[in-house]
Amino acid sequence: MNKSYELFIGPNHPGIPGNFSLKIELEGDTVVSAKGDPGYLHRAFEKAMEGRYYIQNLALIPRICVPEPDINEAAYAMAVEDLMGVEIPERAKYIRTIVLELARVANYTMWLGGLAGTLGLYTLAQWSIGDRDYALDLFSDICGARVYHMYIWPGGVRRDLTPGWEDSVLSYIRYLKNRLIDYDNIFLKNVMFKYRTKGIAVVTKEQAIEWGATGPILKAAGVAQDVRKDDPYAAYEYLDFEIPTLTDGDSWSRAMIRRWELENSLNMIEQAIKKMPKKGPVCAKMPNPLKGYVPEGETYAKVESARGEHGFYMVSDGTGKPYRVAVRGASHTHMFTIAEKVLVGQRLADVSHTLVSLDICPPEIDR
Amino acid sequence: MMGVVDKIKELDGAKITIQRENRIFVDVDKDRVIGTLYSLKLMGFHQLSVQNVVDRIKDGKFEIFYVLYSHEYKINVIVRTWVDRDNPVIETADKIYPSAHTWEREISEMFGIKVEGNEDCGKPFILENWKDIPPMRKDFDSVKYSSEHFVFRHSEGENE
Repeated sequence: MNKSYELFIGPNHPGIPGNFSLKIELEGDTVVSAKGDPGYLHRAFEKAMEGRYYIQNLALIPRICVPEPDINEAAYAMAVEDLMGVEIPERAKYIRTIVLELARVANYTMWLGGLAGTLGLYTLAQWSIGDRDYALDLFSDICGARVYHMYIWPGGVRRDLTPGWEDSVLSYIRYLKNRLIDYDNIFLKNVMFKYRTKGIAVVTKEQAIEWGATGPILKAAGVAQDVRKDDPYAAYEYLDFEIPTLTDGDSWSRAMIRRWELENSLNMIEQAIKKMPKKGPVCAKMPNPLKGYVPEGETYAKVESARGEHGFYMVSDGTGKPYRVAVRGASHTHMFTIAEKVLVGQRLADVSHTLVSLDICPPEIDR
Repeated sequence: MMGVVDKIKELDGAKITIQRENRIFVDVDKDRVIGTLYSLKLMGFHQLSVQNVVDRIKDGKFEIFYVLYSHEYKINVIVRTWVDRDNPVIETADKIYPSAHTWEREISEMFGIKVEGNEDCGKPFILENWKDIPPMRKDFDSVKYSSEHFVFRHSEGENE
């Protein structure tokens, strides 16, 4: 009699984080092997970018990560600016920082809801996804779009902030800081949460480095690495912030790192609003987007996403369209090099929250 | 004491271009690429951020690049090598960087590059029942492929 059996999780499964599938082999309810099965979401972003003008790609790239689209805009814009040798205005640097951190907040609130949901606590999922919506309203105020903003673009940002927007952001931060206490009380301090996540899906420091982990997975394993600190972009070099680290590398530690990062982001937005020049240009002088050419060359631009290092490798042949753009999303490595290994030995009931704990974002794989 | 940049400059057969303080391009022949990656890992470049390909169709080459990062030195090193488009074969880097395993599966499928030593290359990864030339190659015409394989859907109110 065959002791093991195969189970498909996804692409349509409440415990899978997006249009992605996982084939797991089980003995009883213990995972003996796990294989990621991508392709359900592939929209050929990289190929499509080669046929469009640089400016047209801005409508395409936010879709590479639904919960946090702005990282794509920022890395793409930074790559173009790097090739063109453009320095963006000071005010634009701060606005980018505020927008990127707000996007991180929106991502983490959605992520917290996802984690709570996979552990059976839907109350927090309702709360935090509702609270994310207020952040989306703030995006709508500056660019007219809630999910895909197309606001950060080569040279700076598309337009200046609307009057009073900073006050609305500060008001949201005050609200969310109070709300975090509720999140902690109902979920992160909950003994059941600790019981379900402590010692689960451990990635040690040595493994995290060897396997190429970035972001919260690496920080939870004890390595203080963050692109915002190590290779600062936008206005991060002017801000005072710590990189949180823990040492256990388990599901609980990763959740705590994200909780810490969420609060850090709120503090960073406050600092950026305080330090931002009140007046000044928000975009450098750039050539006509449909006639301008980007000088020939190759570069790699990277930002820190909520999941880790997010980068764009861009090659220009000196024409109006990129010759090649390769996208590096953290989830690519986190799924195939890490999740496939750490899922082995886990119970079936822990598979979904482990995937959420590693924050696998399928569009970063299907690009 | 010798700095890491000096050590990189001494890599055998490598052409070094310092784009800026923390972005260094290292160009090597394809026979030296694995040795170079190994040397760089020993120097402290433990993270492979991305491995991918640029189709240099006019030169008849594929450019394969590896973006590495050192947590210690906070530097990105980009190793580049070139293979003939007619016979694109590289050696796997997954024994040095485990994350290369999946990047190689992807470039093998999307560009038709054979990766020696990676047993999963050649197995379906993202594409399903693909019978055309590898889709990320420059000579693959995605518009032509779409018009041949899919029915064009007119929007409501649009003239036929």
